[in-house]
Amino acid sequence: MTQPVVACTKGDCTAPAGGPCAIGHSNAEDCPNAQFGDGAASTEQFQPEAVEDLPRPEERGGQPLALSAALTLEEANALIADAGARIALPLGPSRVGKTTLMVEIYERYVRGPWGGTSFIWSETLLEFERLAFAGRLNSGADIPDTWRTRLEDGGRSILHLELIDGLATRNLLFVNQSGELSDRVRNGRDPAIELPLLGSADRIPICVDGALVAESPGQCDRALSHAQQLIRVLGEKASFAARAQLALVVTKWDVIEAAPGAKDRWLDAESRLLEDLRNLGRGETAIRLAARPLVSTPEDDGMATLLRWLLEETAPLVANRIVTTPPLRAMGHFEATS
Amino acid sequence: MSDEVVIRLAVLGLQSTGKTTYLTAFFIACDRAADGLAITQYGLGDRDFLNKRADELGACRPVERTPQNDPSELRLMVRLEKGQPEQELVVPDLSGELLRESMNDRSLDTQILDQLSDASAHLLFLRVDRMLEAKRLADFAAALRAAGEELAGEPLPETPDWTVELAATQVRLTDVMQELVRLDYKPSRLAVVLSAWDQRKDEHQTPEEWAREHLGLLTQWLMNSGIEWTAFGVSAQGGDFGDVAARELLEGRTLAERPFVQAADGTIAGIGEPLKWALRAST
Repeated sequence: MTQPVVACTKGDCTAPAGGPCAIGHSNAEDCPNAQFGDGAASTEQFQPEAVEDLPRPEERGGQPLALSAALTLEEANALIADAGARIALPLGPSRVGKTTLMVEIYERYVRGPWGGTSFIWSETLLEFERLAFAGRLNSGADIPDTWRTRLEDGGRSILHLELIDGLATRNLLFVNQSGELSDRVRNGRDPAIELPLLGSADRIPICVDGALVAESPGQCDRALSHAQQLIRVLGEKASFAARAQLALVVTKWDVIEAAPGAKDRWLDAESRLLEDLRNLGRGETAIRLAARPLVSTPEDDGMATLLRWLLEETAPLVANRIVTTPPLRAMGHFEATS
Repeated sequence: MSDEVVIRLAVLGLQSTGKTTYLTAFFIACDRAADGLAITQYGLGDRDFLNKRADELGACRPVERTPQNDPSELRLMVRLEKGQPEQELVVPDLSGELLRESMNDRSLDTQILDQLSDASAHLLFLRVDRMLEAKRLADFAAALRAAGEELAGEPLPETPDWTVELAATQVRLTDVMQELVRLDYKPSRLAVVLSAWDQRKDEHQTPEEWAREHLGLLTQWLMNSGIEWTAFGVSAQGGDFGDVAARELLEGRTLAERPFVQAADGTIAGIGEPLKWALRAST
């Protein structure tokens, strides 16, 4: 250590008193919780307590209602503690369609039951409506950057659906993380620091932009490289929840199908990426999502496949343990799991 | 049928969804002893509001919207079925603007809470021709105008600042129901009244079919909620006063003859049926 640790945001850490780092960093400067002599944190931190919350409307003197906005970490943890949840954390570069993927799942329920499931409840109903709005105005339009940024960078980043799947009810939480964070991990940064919620996620779609695959061999190669690097860094450095599964998700499959040569390019890329996923031992599912009905199979745009993958039961990798949904953990409270 | 002496009706719905027109048509039927309905005591309550609205319908003019600052409580001594004892029907404030503002502000007005707390029957209104479904751009703009909403700022295609008024109507209603249940106001029965039923695009569709097509999210929520529900198609006016041919037809009928009501499966029902259904004990 080059600077003395004067404080630690993790309450039980003894490093300020000269003891070891509570989460095992041998070099305190690597620890995101450490605070040094000048009061500055050692690295950029995820600060769940720094939520710039939504302004409450002027009180009418009535009974307060739920905001129906995206959930904070604390609210999500309360929901998990009460009823358990399946946590999905899509990864991939900006504008690949991570948020759109979640919103499209919601939009299907607006039309009616689907995928063998039906809608029960959402704590973030109006947030879904806001995000769905742009796409409804102009089919295929992106969610405005300002709205997406608010979701990804503010303290409210988690969307919720409660569904009935056969006889079982399931809470599905979608965690929105900025594409920039995926890029940092792809570049080699520590997933525990850049994606502190990764260790709590049950389902991690690795998203690839089909528009890039379709555009040209060069762009397809870059998209493949981005995804491959991300998967390999995760394989080397990430700690996953016991039941976590990863899948490869290519968006805009209809665009790929329509572009000469693109489908073959993707099939080649897909086989290489699936091999990398196989090496992680966390599933080897590939899902192709179409933005518009496919000429080949109009009913199958991949969304039902995605939903089934998100909801299917998987045995935890650690045998002979009762595994309950752990609370979502932010940096500083994350404990590595095998 | 409920045997309560006092029936408190909870009438839910956003603004301009036909609540007042329905209540007016119901009053007219009671006054004219139509559909088995009757007023049993004319000396009770103040029917000034209802009589004025009935005069409007008589002149083939749309019923005025209930302003938010006019929290009149309507009381009628009625008999809902021949041979049944009289009951006092109490209908609190009908202003949909109060509900809309409460949901927008995320603070439920105490008047609404009072209305719900002792309610014997629950009706949820929406207008089939003013649903914001927000499909294509052109549909969206037209639907927004029809719903009486205005976009803030620059009109489309520039993405306006999002407000709750831009959410799909059925989602706003699902939000209402979720919040009521969260506050422990969960009706055992709910009659969904699809008003302006004569204005629906497919006249062969039953109310249940229409609800499943246009209220996909809300009907799922209701089905999974434990609330017993049904849909009624109600044209309390009997037709569009703005349509010359329809108006001529209506002018040839008494006010009690004009309303058109369909139960969920499409069978014809009387104007009182939504209320009577909502009052029946859960099966």
